[in-house]
Amino acid sequence: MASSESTTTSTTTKVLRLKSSDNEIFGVEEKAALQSETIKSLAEDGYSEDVIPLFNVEKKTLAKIVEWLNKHASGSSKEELKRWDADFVDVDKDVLYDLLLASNYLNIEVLLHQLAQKVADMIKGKKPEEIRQLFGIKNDFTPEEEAEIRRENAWAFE
Amino acid sequence: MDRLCEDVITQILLCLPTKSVVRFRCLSKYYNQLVSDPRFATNHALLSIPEVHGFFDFSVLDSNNVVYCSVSRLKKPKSKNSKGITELPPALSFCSRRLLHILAEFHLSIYNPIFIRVATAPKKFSVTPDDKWNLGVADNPICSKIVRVYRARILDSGEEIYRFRIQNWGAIECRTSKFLLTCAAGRFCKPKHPAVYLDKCLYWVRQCGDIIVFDVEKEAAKTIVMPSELKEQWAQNQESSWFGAAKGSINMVFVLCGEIVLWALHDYENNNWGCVRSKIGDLSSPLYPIFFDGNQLVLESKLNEGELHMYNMKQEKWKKIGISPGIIDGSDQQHQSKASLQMLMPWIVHFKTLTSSSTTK
Repeated sequence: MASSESTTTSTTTKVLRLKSSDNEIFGVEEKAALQSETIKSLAEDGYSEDVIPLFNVEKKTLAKIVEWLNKHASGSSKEELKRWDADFVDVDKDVLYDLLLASNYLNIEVLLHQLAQKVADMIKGKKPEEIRQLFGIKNDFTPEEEAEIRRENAWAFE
Repeated sequence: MDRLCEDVITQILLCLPTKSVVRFRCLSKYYNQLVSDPRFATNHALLSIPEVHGFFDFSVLDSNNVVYCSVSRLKKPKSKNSKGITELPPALSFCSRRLLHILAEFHLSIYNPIFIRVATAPKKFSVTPDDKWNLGVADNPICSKIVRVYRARILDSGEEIYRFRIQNWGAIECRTSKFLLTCAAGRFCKPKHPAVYLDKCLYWVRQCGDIIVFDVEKEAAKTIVMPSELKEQWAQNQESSWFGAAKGSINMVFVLCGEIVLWALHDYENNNWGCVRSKIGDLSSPLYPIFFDGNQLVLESKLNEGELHMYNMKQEKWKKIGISPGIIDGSDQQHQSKASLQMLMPWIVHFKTLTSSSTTK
């Protein structure tokens, strides 16, 4: 397969430059970058020749996002992607939140869903007290109010 | 979690099974409010099921037309675990006639396929995910009523007492009817056989072979016990049967080997049923009835998803409709307000008007 004459020159692959909130610039192939609806609309607005500023994403998060965009534009097999994605979302809570906010801002629906699913999996089967503890949610109900809600929905607390 | 915006939190909650979502209600006031929002509740209920579809008898408009309406999610669930069926929202149903009624988790919503309108109302009765209760919508142009039939208690004799709780559409209050129905022990068939509304009465068929009838105006109920032959067919073929109203009577349709058997309740007072058998020969693959308008029977293939057939009882003719909910584009001119509906809900509505003039196969 290694014929030297037909090296498909990548002259047509356009690279978009994305700038994080802390001014780091990432070059991403257009095909990969356009999986983000936000980048797509910014590119259409004429930012494509220039640097696309992403004010809400820090460089450490953007680096992860770019990694994801590249992988998902690389034509990997479904099985491989699945394995890769499982590793990708296997991060601690703070990174997960950063990625969630970034994928929401960048409007990358597939990634947002994967991340949301990951958090949902952490919640599934947990008792209310455990969920509160896990996510640092402050209970602002009076004991009576809480008991009332539990009574109304008793089946969910069995 | 307070670092996340509401959009993201909603996304996470939408990925959760019903039970976990309900638990969020008691976490804090913020989560209680978020989860109780009718839009969230409707979206969540719809995301929990792959798809709702039904056929509607539009013979009022044109006797040749049957309209198929499918409500499906924008995207298939990404990694739905295999226990999807047990996670079905406790109440999701549609009544026959001209409205598709989707009864969502914490609120009820009615979807009207003709006017493409969705209405939601707070639901005032508790719903547990079991088959000891069921819902029905009495569809009335002035004021629709939602009726919940439920087992109130079990008698020493083994018989059961059922009661009826009624909420007027749009009203906050609901009340329980004084009427007590005593009948044999039984369970409802959810979600396979939803309530049928016909001539001011709601009908719920039960697994044990009887039908609970509730007269919504008089607030009186009774049971209709199927004649023995029908009862036997019902016991053996519940999954491959259709229960509904057509041409002004309650019908049960079975597809048995080599024939279609149609039962119609002619005399409501005396429990008098008529039975028609139509020979159809051997089917190449099993077909289950999903809609009957009094003449045309729509059947769905159990092997090939989305493959639909129509059988004309009078002409004894088959027609392959072959529409898959995923294939039809909803570009019908008459349904332009579709876009505005999508703003409300994350699913697409597909419409297809099936006329008898379409190519016969």
